[in-house]
Amino acid sequence: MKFKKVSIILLVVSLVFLLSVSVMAADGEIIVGIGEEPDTLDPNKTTRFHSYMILSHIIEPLFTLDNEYNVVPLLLESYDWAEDGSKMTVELKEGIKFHNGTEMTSEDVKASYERYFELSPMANYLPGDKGGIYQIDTPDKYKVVFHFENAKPLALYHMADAHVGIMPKEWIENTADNEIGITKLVGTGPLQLDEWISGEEIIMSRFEDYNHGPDFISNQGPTKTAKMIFRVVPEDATMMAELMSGNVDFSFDVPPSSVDVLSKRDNLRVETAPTYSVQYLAMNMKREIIQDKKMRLAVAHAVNKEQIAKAAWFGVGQKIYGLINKATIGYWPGIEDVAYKYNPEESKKLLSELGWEDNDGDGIREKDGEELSLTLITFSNIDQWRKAGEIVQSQLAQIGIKVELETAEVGATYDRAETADYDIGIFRNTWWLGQPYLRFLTHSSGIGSSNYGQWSSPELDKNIETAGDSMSLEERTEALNRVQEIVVETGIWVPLVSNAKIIAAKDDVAGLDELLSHPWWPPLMRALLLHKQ
Amino acid sequence: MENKLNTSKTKSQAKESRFWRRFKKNKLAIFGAAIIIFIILTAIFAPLLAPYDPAFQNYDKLLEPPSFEHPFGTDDLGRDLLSRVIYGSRYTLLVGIGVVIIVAVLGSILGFLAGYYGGKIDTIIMRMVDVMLAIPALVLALAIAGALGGGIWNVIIAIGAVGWTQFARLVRGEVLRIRESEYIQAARALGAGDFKIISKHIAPNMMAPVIVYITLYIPSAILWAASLSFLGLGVQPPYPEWGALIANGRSYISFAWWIATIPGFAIMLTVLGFNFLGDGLRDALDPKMAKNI
Repeated sequence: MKFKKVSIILLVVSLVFLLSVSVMAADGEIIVGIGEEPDTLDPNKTTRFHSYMILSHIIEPLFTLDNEYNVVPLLLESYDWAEDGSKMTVELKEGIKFHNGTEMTSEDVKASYERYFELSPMANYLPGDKGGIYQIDTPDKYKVVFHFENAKPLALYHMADAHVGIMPKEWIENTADNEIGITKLVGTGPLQLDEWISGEEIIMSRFEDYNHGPDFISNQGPTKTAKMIFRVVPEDATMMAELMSGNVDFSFDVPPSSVDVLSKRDNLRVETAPTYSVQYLAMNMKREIIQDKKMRLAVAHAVNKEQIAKAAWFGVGQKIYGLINKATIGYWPGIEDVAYKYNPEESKKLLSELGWEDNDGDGIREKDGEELSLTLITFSNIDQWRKAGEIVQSQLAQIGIKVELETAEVGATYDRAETADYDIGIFRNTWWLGQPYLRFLTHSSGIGSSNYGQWSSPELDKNIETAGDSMSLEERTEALNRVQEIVVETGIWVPLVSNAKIIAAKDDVAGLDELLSHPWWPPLMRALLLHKQ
Repeated sequence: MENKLNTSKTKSQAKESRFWRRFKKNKLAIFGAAIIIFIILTAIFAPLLAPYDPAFQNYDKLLEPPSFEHPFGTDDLGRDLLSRVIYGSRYTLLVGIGVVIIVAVLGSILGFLAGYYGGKIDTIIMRMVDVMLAIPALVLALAIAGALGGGIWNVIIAIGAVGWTQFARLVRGEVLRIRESEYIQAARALGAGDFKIISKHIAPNMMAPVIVYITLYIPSAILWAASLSFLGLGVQPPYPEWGALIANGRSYISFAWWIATIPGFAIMLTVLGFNFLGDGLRDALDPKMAKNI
């Protein structure tokens, strides 16, 4: 009898213990649903947005951007420019630790920049061969001197990009290249990589020695959550079900279609905000039919952006006028007057002027016995793009253009765009800094690759270069405005909708208000602020 | 001579009536045939039956649940789902029949060559079949569809190019069986050429299993086409192929169930119809069953 009593007490005690342990563990972790698995977490190899966002919890650049787009020091005490812009001297913060326990020094910064220059496809502004940093000196443990070929007015912005994050020199040298960013990653960030289970999740845990968070964040470190687990949920419907059932605490990959349903749930908080990522239509200037400006304008006037924002984006996206939008540094409000307005009658007039008429009454215009038909390419696996494709197809049908819609997954679609194998296409691009982004999309050096319009002009090139290199802010601004004007005025690029950023979080996730005060909801703030109540 | 003809006519009539007797007894087969006839009629008269233009987008009626105005609801671009499902039957039948034509023509020719001539020709064709069968069929179809690009004709070619192997084996087996029959040897002894033997003796005698196989293969082809469309390699928008409709609706399944569920039900019904019909045909044409009747 006594034995029975003792065993019951022991059972109850152990149950209570187990329960409390499990509650504690659940309190200490946040499960983040991600819609796309990163290709790699190597900051110098990836060009993908998801990879960039996730590795930014682990890796930090020298600078960061505060709530008002100002570049502020992150890993350094101070910096000083030579008057002619040829030299920048940086004093690193002392005592910043890497996840492997070693202290960050000037040698690590040098090694990281050199690896970035060597490997990163994103290194198109800072390297020496682009007129940027040709030499890095390390006079002492905490001092780094960057020598610039030419003055680079946008250098600080590029140095605030996690693609040029700082990793330990010795670790880089002693780690196999195919392990970096796949099984191992060491940085100075608030979270450290524990494990990446391919196809399932990426597990990160609190880095206890982190204490150098910037002043604009209320918590300088370490993180309030013990763990952050990034769970791969590639299907929109599954993501929604996971959020509704509470299996995922937080996600920034929420499909626009589900905003309405999720907002109605008592235990979820859903927030939307405009972002710098845009959806736009581009026309391939290598195609003879597109080379006539009247044809391009006929298409531009026939596209009703509001309908796309409403139906493809469920009202979450916003109609835009230029290739960069309000959330991007360098936005020019004057573009609203340049953009072509929805006017299908004008489109019909232009097509008639070109000799395209519907003689047989089938709704499609013809000329010399040939039907007016265009190929439209876009992404099959992202609803907002597939649907935008179907909407544009229907809008162009109304003016008598037959559109063959050819959808494929993102990579295959970009391959066709880069090799000029299409007539018109609907694409997406994203960057928070206008000049490099417009250079990427429209400079003549991008023809055959990122310049999907496959067109450039000396005037456009000159202005893009001035916007990046001039030491006069006024000159840079003027040149960038002109670039925005040219690209829209030609009718080759038709900006459609600015994407919306959507966050859904369970109501027990704390720290969300402060995170939302920053226009970009950056990973550094997510790591330092979010935790379970 | 006249008597002879009459006798053969009576024999074939008897065979036909035996087939019908057996087929009519099978309730499921009749049900299957009724479904197929219904779907074929729907496909033919789609423009008369559909209440709306299947491509018409109404942005004021996005994701509306089934109602009197839209009995199957509307999809994510405000299109009437009933009209889309009705028009979709055209693509589904086109794929099913198109694939079967490719499979039957390719499979018959190669199966005949292999079975009738044997030797090296047989070895070459059958090893080719073995190689094809060693690769998972859907993966191969995906690869071919991926290489050819989207579009309904490419889907038909992709599935047909993968599906002929089973058919070739069936035809070869039948040809081997019939080739050794005494009446073939007799025909040969009488000096009949290859063409005559194949067209007058072998082909008619293997029609029964071929017809059954064709009927049972159509639903597989429909499911394959739906799978390819679901994976984004099939029929391109805005054509309302049923697999594409399901793929389109899967994102909304938790709050707009009708977009994916109704075309799914249509596919199920069609596949079931063909399967019932195929089973009925097999039972009616199988000589072993004759003893029981």
